Amino acid sequence: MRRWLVLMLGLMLVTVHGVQAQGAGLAELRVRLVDAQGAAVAGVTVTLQLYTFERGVARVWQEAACVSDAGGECRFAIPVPPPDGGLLRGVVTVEGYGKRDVLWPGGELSLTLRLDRLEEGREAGPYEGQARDGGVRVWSWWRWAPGIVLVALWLGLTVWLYWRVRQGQEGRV
Amino acid sequence: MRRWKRWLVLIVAGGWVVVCALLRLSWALSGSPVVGEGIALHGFGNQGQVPGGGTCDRVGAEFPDNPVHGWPVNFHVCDWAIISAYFCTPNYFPGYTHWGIDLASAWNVEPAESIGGVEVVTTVDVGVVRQAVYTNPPQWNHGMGNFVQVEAYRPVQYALTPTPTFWPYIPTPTATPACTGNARQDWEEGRFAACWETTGWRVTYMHLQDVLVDAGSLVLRGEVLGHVDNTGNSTGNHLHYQINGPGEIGAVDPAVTFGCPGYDWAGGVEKGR
Repeated sequence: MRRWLVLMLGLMLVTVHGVQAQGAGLAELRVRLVDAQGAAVAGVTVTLQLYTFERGVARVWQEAACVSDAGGECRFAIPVPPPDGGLLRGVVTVEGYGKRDVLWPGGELSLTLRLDRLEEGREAGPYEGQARDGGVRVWSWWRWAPGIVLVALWLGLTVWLYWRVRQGQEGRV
Repeated sequence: MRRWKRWLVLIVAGGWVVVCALLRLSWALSGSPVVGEGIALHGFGNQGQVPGGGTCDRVGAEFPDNPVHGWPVNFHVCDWAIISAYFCTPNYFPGYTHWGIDLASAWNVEPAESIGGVEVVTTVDVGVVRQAVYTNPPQWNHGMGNFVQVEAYRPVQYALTPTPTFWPYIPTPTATPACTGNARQDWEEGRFAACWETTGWRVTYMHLQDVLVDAGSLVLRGEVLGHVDNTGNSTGNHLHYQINGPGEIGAVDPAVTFGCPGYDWAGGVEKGR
């Protein structure tokens, strides 16, 4: 009887440990920082901000920071699922270098970030483009130049003809 | 007197026609872009149409009728580490919500790992190229650079197999279907024969190096549309991937459509890689 009790308690402990381990291992982000030559960069502070959306507005629900070790690595364990239960969305900020967005469905995500190209491969600031054309056509006068000259000539010819007609009318009076 | 009046009318009207023709010619000679069907031409330097409106308040929402599915580049398929940006900007331009995912390389350590030049593939079962905008040198095009927009279609009539059990099925090429209404007919021997209608869903693939499809042509899942590049509003080689639903749905969250193995979409938890 006592043996069964010990076995049951042991089983319960293993189960609880398993559940805890599963919860703790829900998601992990590994960031490895390297320089232009591919060498690990140690001692840089990396911040992870995970955000969720509430009616379209982003809200940070978890924030953590770490300093890259000798291998240039930083690890972030995310023990709870996001409030909306969907994908994990976040921003990794490397102090003094820039940011990179992260998006993943859970589990382990490994990122190798080359610091001199951290913000490459994405859109520039959303409104930078708007400033350039904003849906309005960019005016390039030289493309219109032949047309403008032709319209001017045509208008000149019309006015000249009209003047000649008027002159003819006056001459008849 | 009457002769002068006739000349006046002739020169005014004829001159206008000549001016319009010359303007059109100068536009054509100055590098006209390749544009798709149904796109309004705006005279000089047509930039194509932006994908459309929408709000950013449906993050993570899945639409049962959304036919878009899959990983849009032949590069580290289903590895989320190549996502370099995820954002939604309502009213990026008036009437344009910019909601997309930027797929770039996280492995920029080795030049061989650059996403530049990688194939961009169709992510709908069947689609019609709505816009194929390409210029060399590339234009700004509302920040999209060279881009392709594919409209998802669905089969509505089968002439050869009344109840197809799988799709795309291989019909016996004995007859072409007779499509009714606005349905579009496409026939390719040994591959498919059907009438298609639009679903209204559109996918836009931006910042491309080149465009390998023509506007108006039919494309199938996995078909290469172009190659990744850095044209338009871009800080490096990447693909901006955007999905727009019909009507008032507008831009939707593209992240939920990747459908990569190992991801339990209902539970939101990865099942292992």
